[in-house]
Amino acid sequence: MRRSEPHAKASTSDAAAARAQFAALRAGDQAAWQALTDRYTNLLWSIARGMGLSHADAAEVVQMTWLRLVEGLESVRQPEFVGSWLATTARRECLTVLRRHSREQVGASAEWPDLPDASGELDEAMLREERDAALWQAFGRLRPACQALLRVLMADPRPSYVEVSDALGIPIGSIGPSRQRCLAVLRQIMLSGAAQAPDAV
Amino acid sequence: MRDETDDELVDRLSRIAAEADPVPQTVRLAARAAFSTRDLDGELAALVGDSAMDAESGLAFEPVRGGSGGPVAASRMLSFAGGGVQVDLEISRYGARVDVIGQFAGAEPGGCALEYVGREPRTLDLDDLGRFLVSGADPGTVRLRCTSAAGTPVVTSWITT
Repeated sequence: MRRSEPHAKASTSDAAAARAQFAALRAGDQAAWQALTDRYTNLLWSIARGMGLSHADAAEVVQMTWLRLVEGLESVRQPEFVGSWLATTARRECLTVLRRHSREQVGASAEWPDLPDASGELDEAMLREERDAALWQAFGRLRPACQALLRVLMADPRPSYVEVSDALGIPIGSIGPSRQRCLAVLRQIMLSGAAQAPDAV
Repeated sequence: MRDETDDELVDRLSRIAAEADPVPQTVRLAARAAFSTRDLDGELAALVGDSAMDAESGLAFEPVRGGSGGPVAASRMLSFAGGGVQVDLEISRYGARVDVIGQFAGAEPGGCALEYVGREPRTLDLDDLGRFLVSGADPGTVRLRCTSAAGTPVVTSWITT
């Protein structure tokens, strides 16, 4: 099952569907809006959390991204690329929040702050299986760029590579190789963790 | 498990993330509610300058330090333009409170307001020069609304104070 093929272009029928959706949105169709937000809110949340934002900041970024779309609804020229538009906007809003915090905390780096340890925020009782907990902890030990990439690739429904590229500000061609590399490192962390604590396997 | 493909691993991570870090329901509801902020009549006064932006964005001002000494946080300066109106803002944050000093140019003195998402707007009292002060406001997502001298409603882009 390959769902991560690069989509350089939206198909003709997708484009027609997107144009119909935007016509409905511009006519004030609340149901069309709800369908759009239901489809993309998970991706926007994944972008913000992957960039290390707290729950509160991620919530703010997601809301701001949707407000920006409402504000600019008439000016979106290619409805079939609304996902890319949203991803780009969310990334920009994340950087704005990070910059604001770096001004508040003198000395912090604006671009890549120290990420909170993802495993630390996890209520492990919520996880059904120990091996899932171990995997999630290992995920939290990946370097920030890998966490950001994989969080976006994990979004449900899965984003296109164009959307991933816009969400992360990286070239489309680098996504596949980076994904492979990050997953390999994740497996290594899992293996070394297992070696250190054989009881936990 | 050694045989798990990359796609399967991503699928498993996705499932775990959905349990460990799901999108909060409040975030989903806020996304749906955002549509109610749509303003068909108003012209947009877009953000044209923001001291919180970097040079690459094209929105950056020269760095500005706020206040005259004392333990005051750096102020953020913003400018909006559009619909025949210009709005300049200076936002200063003091812990959990913000002060907003602003000036409208090209706007009617009456009917200017600070708008929140899902909350009643706050009417702004402008002086003869179009200036106003909001002291000790809650930080949050806001925009400004006014009527241009030509009688057109104008709203600014949303910002987070």
